[in-house]
Amino acid sequence: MKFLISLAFKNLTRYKRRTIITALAIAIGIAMYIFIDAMLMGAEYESVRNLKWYETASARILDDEYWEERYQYPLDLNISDPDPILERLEAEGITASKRIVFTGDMILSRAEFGEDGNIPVRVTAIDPSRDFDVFHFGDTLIEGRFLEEDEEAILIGSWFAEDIGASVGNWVTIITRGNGGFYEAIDLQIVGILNCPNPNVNRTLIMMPIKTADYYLAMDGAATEINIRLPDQAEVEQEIATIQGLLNGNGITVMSWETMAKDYLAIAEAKRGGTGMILFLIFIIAAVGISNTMLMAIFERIRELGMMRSLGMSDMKIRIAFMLEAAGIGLIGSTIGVIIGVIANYWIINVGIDFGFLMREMDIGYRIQSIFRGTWNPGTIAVAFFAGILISTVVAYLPTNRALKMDIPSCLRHQ
Amino acid sequence: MISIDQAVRNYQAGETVVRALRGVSLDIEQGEFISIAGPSGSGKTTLLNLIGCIDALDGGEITINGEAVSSMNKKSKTDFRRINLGFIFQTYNLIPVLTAYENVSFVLSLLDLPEQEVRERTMGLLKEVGLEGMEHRRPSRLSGGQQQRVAIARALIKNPQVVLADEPTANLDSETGEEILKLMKEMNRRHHTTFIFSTHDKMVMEYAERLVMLHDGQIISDERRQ
Amino acid sequence: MRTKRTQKLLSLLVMICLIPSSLAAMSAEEIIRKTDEMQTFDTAITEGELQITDRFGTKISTFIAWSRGSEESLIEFTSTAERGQKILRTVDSIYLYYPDAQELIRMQGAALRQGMLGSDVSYEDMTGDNDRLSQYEVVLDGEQVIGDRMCYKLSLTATTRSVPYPKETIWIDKEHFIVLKGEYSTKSGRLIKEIDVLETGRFDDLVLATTTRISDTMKADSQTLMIIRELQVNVPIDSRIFSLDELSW
Repeated sequence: MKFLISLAFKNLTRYKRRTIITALAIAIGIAMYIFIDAMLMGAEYESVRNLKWYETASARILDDEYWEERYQYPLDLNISDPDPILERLEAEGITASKRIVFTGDMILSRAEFGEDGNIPVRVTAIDPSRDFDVFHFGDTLIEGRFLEEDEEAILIGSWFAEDIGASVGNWVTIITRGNGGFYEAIDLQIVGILNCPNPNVNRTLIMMPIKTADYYLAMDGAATEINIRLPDQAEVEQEIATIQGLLNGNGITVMSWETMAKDYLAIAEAKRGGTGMILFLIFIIAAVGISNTMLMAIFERIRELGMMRSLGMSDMKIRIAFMLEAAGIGLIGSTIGVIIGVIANYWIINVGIDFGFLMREMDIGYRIQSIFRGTWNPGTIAVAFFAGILISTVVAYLPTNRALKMDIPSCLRHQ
Repeated sequence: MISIDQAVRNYQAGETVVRALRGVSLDIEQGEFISIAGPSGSGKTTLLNLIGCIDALDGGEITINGEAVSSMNKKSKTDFRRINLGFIFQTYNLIPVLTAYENVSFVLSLLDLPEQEVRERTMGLLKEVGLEGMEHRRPSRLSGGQQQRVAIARALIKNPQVVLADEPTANLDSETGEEILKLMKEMNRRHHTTFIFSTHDKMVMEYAERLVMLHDGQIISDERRQ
Repeated sequence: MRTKRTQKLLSLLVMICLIPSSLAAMSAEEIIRKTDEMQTFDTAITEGELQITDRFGTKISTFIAWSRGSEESLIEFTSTAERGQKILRTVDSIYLYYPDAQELIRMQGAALRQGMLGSDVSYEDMTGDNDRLSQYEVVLDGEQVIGDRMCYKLSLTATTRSVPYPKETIWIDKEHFIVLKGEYSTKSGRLIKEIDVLETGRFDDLVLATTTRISDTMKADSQTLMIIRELQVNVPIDSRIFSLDELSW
């Protein structure tokens, strides 16, 4: 075996350029695999974080029927008395805050915006003293100030502000329907602009104080949802069961962020599948490269093969020798690939790629505003490394077999 | 100890059947230095391949030391070759990435011998074939004659009963060829190994102690000389 | 003398009794009831069009509508772009049928707030008004001339949150009892929607609004004109026309 290993590695030096080119093909495949995986994992990680930080929280308490009707943003499917629930959660050490979410038309006047206009909007009414304990808007203010308890004021996302040409101090009117269906018009002043790292939020965000919304929408103290923040390491499903126990029915239910973000997670899954295909293709290309290289290596050594077989070297040993040689190319390729991949990872993790121009124009599902950063994923690096070697080794099997099918005299006569 | 009885071998060459051997019978004793001679196409390489257990008979039988090698399966033949047979080729067939030492020693490593023994035997034999000091050269840094010396050492290193050499001097100039023949003969004498070599070169035939002439797949003469 | 005075008194009493009730001032409730009555027919077949104007231009959709009482109707659009689209209103629901997709949609909840064909008329507007008196407190504010017609001016204030417009002001033609103008507002009096009858027309012995402008006051450049071209009332209509099963024929 020792001889076979040393022979395999010495054979690699026969055509150094060919070995290096083949190894580089594998290296590039492996480096790309490591890099793309790091980037996607990073994007997914950050997306999930931004989803939880700015959209879904860790969990949400809703009226039993609300989720079914969620796209209508019904005000009548509400939690009629949220404060005792909040107190109970607080007693359990669970951070939570109530919200009213409603839709309407935002009316922009010529006097404020230069031209008349109206756009459909979704407004989130928050408890200014508690909401930022659950969501992470606390450090996103880029202009103006945060909301006060009970005022006719809104905060808006910076992309939304850009889109409608709004700045701090502008007044807008929201035409909406109160709880029951009556029309209501609310004049609100923009007091602050938030730059939310979640593009889906930054594109549409409008926040107002819950007390003001309660008054105009005739909610009588009701909220449409209570959002809950759980510690990062929490067992979400288990916590949810606990909270569900606390609520003890009453027509309300608690949902995990995973349930709420099912659509997002399904898309993420599909993306993983798609990139899996790309990675598969990269490996196919590397495999074809190495199989070709091994075919050439084997056929130019047919006479040597004949000599070794004459001297009584078994087919198995010859096969092992060639597979070890391919494994050697795989090892070189994998090593270079991991080195390049790790260097590229350092860059994507610490610097990242700015896709801001893309994310600003369209929603591709990721909850990342501009810079995509990767994450370290030692599992992938290890898998890529060993896969590079394994695939190379396995791929050498077939051409070796072809050569071993020739009879020995033919091998010896081979030119 | 080698007994060839009515060996027949036919090849399919396109539409026609080439009758390479047409019933050759021959007995070779242990320690003989025998040349199979004849023009090209006379069947000498085929005969060598059959004795070497790397080709299969279409008729007849070959026994070596009482073992009917012609009826062995592939694996048994391989095992038999590994232990009992040595080969020398016209084109040396050394592995270019291995040193002279490694080209010889790997044969022993196929037999799973201890490293120390492999080392001693290899160094000893390389010295015997006149390659002392060149153990670490690769074939590209050796002359043709030196390369064939490595090949002779490779064939002899496992102390085989028989060494088969197909046109061993054909690629060498006559002076070097003679040296190689002298070396082979000396090895034959010293190790009492049977040497069977093919040639169509008159000078080479001179060295043979027994000369078997083949023509069209049949033995036309078999003479012993001094 | 005594007889004369008695006669005078008697004749005065008789005169008082004989004063036609129509001459007495109607109450606000009576005006609303009368108006609802005037606009509700046993059956009716209407042909007309919607001219919907938004900031991209004007779109005209024509339709035929069959109705029975105040709660059952079927509208079928006949203009090219919407041909075959139907809106069925039954006692308790509104259904939309799209022939291209062969899709039937039941409209409920907040979906009823959408404008029909993108107009300023919501599905909800189509259903409302039936029991105004139970949902609004009505006050007669006096009389006012709209165009050249003398109208009652009525103020309606919602007594429930389940109506779209917490405040309404409507002007009702004194002679024909048709609403000639309406202003619909939020609780604080912010005007949301305006309805103006631009033309009236006579069908047999009925006078009805033929061109009505509906505008969303918050959307400066949008308005919808509803024009009625043909009207036949109290004609027999197969009752199957108002069944869901027949919607997709």
